[in-house]
Amino acid sequence: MSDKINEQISAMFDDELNAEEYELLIRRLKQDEQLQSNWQRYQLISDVLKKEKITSPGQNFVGAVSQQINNESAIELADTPSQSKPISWLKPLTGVAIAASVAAMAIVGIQNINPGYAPADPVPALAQSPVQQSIQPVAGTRWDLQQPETEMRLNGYLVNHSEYTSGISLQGMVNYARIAGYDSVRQPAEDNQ
Amino acid sequence: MPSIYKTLVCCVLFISTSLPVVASEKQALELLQKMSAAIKQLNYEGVFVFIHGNQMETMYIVHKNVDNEEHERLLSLVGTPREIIRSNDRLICILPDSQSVVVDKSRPKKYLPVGLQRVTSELKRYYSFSVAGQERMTGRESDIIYIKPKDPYRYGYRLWLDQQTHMLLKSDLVNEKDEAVEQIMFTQITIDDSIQPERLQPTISTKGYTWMKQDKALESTEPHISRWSVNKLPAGYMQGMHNKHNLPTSRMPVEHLMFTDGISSVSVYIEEMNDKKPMMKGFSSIGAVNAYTTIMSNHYVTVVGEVPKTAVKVIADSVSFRD
Repeated sequence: MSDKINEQISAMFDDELNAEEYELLIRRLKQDEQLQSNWQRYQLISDVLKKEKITSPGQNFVGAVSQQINNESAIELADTPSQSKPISWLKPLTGVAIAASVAAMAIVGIQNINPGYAPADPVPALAQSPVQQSIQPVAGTRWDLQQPETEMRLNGYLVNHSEYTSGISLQGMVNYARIAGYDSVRQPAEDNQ
Repeated sequence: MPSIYKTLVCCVLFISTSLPVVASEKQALELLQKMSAAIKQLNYEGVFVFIHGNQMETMYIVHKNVDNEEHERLLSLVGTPREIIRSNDRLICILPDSQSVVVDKSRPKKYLPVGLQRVTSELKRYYSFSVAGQERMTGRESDIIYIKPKDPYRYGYRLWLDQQTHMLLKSDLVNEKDEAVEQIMFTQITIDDSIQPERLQPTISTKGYTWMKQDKALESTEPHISRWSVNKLPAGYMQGMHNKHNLPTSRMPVEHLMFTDGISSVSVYIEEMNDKKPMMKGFSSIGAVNAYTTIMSNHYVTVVGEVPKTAVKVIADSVSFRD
């Protein structure tokens, strides 16, 4: 891919493209997967620099991926009775043992911090003000739900799960980062209360 | 006898093309084993980013191994400076946003460089392992390892390992289209035995903070008779544990069954329904973690794991209750 196009993508994020160039770029984006991935990278950089959340197709990246997986046709399963005895060699492979319990604590913290969050009434999906719109779940940082009770419980599960299963990579860290990122996204809600 | 020559030629061709693959696989598994040990045994300090969806977290980490005990400190660098200090027996979490310090017993983590050799024959049925090349990462020369799942019930990994120390420098969690679903990358790392123990001390002043302690272990380890069972698992997943916990986020004791293929893991949580705390049914996700909840015999059955949606759904659908 040429540098020129990358420059154009960059220019687009700086609002420096005219309508014609813009249209041309969008057309190319639609056709070129490599370009799309570059575009997402720019989007990420741009967001990080601006420190704001975005409304981009990139936002649905993980969701789209999951959707794709879900749409796959069912594949034949092995009938595996789960009564088999626990197997000692099935220890998780590796992992920085940074803890899930860490994240558990973080959750406890979040509950304490944000009283509006814990046993709050679920936000009615259709009664959202524009302000609430701005804190809609972003793929990756929060459960993609609008139901605090469920999210909290899922958090508890996730934390407990990772405590017993530090996976092959730095999963412990990830789970912490996941939960830690949680309330920063929630923050605008607090501000508005 | 041309047919023999033909066969010979075929054999030679087969061997010469398959040998590098086998060698690569063996090498990849050896490197993984070394990485596994390195992450736990090395002393290191650095900054890593965690990218998921369009979000990015930045964390500082210090890790020190003293007499085969891991000590660790984590600090979030963006937003509220939460700090976590973890040693073998204790976990301290400093939360400035709530002006509190939470202390907990850390759950015992077995300290063992896992016997990867013993599981490789099993693992090789569900994943392929290869060394995909070399690249400079975090200012160091690294080997790239690919772990590719052979069915849609697990994610794959791309791992960048420091050539000198085998420390993990970058990790991509990838879907079946080879797209990264989550990434972790050290942007800076120092691997050095001389990291001073002081670096493990908290930097946030906790003066005036509320200290919260949990004295007793939360879970029962006694075996119990369960009426729940999971009847269909994607090939390769085996039951790892079956237990009951009290979770801080759920009031009832929650039944927990865990399944793993040695790399990917899935948990099934079963919790009695409580009308005051309704739970939503269906799919939800957070980063690469997928969850699926169903209702059965007045219980919520939730399957959670860092695995594709297909896997959590299939497992959830196969849970049954014996009256």
